[in-house]
Amino acid sequence: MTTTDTPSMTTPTPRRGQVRRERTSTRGLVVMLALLAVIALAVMQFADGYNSFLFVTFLTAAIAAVGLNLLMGTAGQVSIGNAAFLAVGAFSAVFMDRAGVPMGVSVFVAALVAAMVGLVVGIPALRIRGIYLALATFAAHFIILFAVERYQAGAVGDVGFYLTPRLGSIGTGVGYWPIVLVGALALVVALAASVTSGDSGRVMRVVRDQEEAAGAMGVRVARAKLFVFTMSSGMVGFAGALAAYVGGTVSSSSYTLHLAIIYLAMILIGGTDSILGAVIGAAIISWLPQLSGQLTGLLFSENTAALFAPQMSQVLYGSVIVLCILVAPGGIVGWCKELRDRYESRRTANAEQGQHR
Amino acid sequence: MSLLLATLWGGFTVGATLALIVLGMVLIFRATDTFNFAHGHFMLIPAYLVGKWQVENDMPFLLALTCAVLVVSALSAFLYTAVLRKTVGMPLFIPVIATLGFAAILDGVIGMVFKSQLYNITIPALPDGAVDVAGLRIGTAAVVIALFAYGLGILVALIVQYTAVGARMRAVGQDSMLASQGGINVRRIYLGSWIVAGVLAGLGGIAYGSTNIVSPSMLDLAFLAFPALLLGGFDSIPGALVGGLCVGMIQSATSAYIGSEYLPLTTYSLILVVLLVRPQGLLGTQEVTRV
Repeated sequence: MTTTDTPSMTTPTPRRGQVRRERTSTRGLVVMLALLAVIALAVMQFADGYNSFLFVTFLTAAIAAVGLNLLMGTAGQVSIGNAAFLAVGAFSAVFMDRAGVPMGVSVFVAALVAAMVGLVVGIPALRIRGIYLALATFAAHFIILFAVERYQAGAVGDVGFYLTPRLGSIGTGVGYWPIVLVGALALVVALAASVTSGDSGRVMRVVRDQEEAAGAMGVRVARAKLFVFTMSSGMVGFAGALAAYVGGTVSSSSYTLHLAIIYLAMILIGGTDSILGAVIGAAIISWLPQLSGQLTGLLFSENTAALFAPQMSQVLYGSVIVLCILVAPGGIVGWCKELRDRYESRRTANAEQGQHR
Repeated sequence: MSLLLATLWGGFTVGATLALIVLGMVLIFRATDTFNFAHGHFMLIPAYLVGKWQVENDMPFLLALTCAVLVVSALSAFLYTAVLRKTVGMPLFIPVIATLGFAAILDGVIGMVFKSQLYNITIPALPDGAVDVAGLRIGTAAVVIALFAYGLGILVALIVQYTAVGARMRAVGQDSMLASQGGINVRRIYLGSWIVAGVLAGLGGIAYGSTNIVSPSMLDLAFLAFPALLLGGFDSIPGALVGGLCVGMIQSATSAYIGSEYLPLTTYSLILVVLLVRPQGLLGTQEVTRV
């Protein structure tokens, strides 16, 4: 049985008669970042420990989500290796911290290390696609975690690493982290925006949608794929390193396949191929555990909530993912665009009707 | 010598359960072109149910077995009908994520319903005692179960190859549009494939749970199914049996000769090697891209 490869690997087919809309404008992204900066300042002034922790966790997740969205949404390369790259970033940071490297340097070096690993993982992507690539990243996850676990076992064992707190940590309060992380997010967003716009963006999208045609047109497909793997993994590693410093503890047991799935959910819920969508998805997913705790408390009892919090949140994550696929496969951003398009076409139709009268 | 035999036997038994799981995955892949990341849970839930009912409610085995099979059939039917049918035509990673989401839900539910209980399933009418094979003592029950699993797999392969139903399944797998034009109820075939896949996984889990313990670590077996699926070929039914057996052997050999900490390394490096060298596996069909 031979089959012809389906052309579109990740974008939903547009409805008949509709042109695919532009990505979120630069202005939109700037507004989003400004809003986050304001919230960060407010959080630093007013919020209590738990909420500020939630906020900074959301910010590091958003950075990683933007990186993942670049890989999966824009370039269409399916990857379940996200947790592994977070681990690479975190453990590189740990390694350098133990060697006495200052934090400002080590997070960027960690990003570079993750980018290099991403490059290596991207090499199989040159030959395999779609579901096979998902499997390859699935395998890469376990192999990378194996390496990381051996390192941890050799150095400190199950208890994991501790990083000296800078700028504040869970114990002493978040300090300056909110605004610093918004700055880091701005950096990553700017990078992602510049890479996904213009020519390089078009290259990635055509590789995603019509790889054979792209090659026939003279697009350097291999180079584009390796580039996006490197860049995306670097961003995710950056997020992982930052999260390590924010959280203060790093242990290989926290980088599970489940974590990778959570990031996939963020991209799905926010909307693929949308930087704004990635941030929105990260916000929603980061807030979900709180929601699940309250929901369990409401539906069952406070006891059940405490006892089964992790399981309830799993059920909630899963349900959100499934519901999102059934109701809004384009994510929130896709849904908003559809609403806007429908509104505009109705307006145009009304206007046309008025003219013919 | 006895280490080698023990290794071979261990590989054979694990391979039996793996073969059933992978067989189900092949059926699903032939039907709906996706992986089912929730397949491990389809294996675990019936095993847990039978264990729980046997131990806590003293239910006769056959009754528990039937009910558990019904439950898993309902679950697979639900996953197909409510979720995956809606994702037809959507980009590839969406159905995969849908099964991942479903897996997360099942994970949470299993955790809440069964907590951290461990069960052992007893299958009545199994011969007791052990056999002596070249110095290795093997429980007779284990032999019977392993043979049963492989036998079931071969039976499914024969059905698909030689019966009318099987011919329809193959037709739908080759060209669903043409098949539906020819009067075959494609949706029913898909639904049937999903249900059979779920049942196979459940039976594999129950078989495994009778010679081992039913616990969440059984899900690790399901992760092993991926290399087996890849090795045998995504769409090859005989490949499922071969792949299951091979991966079982590799697992067993690694544990025995290298050390079980290296299990993830060998298993997943195998995946990478197969993906790069021969992505269609040993017996699968090659995917040809036409421009």
